[in-house]
Amino acid sequence: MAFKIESSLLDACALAILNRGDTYGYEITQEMKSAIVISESTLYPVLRRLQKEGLCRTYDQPYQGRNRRYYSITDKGKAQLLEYRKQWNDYKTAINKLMENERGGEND
Amino acid sequence: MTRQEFITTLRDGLKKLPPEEIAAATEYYEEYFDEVLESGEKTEAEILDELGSPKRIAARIRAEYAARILGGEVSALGEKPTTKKKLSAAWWVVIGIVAAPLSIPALIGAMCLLVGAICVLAGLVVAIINIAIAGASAFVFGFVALFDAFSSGIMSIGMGMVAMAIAAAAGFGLFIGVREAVRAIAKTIRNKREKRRIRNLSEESAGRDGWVYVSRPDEDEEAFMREMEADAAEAAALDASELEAPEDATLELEAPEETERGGDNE
Repeated sequence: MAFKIESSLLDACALAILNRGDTYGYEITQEMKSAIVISESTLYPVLRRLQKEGLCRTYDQPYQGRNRRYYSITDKGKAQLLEYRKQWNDYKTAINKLMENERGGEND
Repeated sequence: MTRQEFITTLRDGLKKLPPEEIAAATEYYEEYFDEVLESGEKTEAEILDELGSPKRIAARIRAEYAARILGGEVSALGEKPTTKKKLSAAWWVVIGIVAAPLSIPALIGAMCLLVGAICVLAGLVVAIINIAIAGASAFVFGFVALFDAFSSGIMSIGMGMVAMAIAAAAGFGLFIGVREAVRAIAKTIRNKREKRRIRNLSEESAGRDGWVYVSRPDEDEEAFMREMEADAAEAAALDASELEAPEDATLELEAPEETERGGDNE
């Protein structure tokens, strides 16, 4: 990909996935991968950071004789996601405007 | 590499972090292996291939940890490592003052032990030299005595040789022992210094940027940066190849541009 994905954008994406409902690491990876190119080694630090910042919490549930760690968004996480959404919208609009303007006016 | 080796290397790379961080990371990757294997989509070898170097993964986790802890981002959780550090420093002073009646005699005791150890060492050296001298003189005397009393002369020569052999063996053993001890002490001091250096380094870089890589203890920074650059190039190549497969035609249209623009994104 030509654009580097910055860590706060990854945080926002992970929060958006968690906002749909509690889920576990592998599923989050799959969801992320369906949208952006991301390696496994990128996601774990993101989840750990969200957890330590109190934006999500974890709980274990037995699954096929082992534990599955579920991630759940907190109220603080939801508030943060709202903020991220707002900022993303502004950012997206600004970039779109710039990109489309360039295409419209063809004078170099 | 096997799954077990992956986990072991990962754990090894994280050994300087708190136990709960190591546990969380290893549990996460153990679970990841379980999930993918149970889904039947990939074999263990394929997962390992996809995950890449556990050392790099450990480096990323350390970087995240360093940024989180040193950047003070966890203050909301009440976890403040900087105050903890200061507190422990203050604690040491208090303990030092309170424990003075005990610690001063203990210090004297430790110094006596050190002096004692040096004396023992010196004694051993003198003893070995004595045995060597005695052996050498018995050896020489044996030759002189050969003409007067043949059997006594032979015995003296033999005893002299035995004594010299014992002295040589003991001297060699002592030399090896002292050398190893000195090496062990030097290594401990070096490790301590290295740890401090890494801590300072990560503090500096954490202040500069939220997302940094922490240098490894056993490698110089330059080599580490080279490796990171190589990793980044590899990741970029991977991104490009993965992009060609999914989604729609617009991606294909963008593909030629991508090679030109690959470098300048910051």
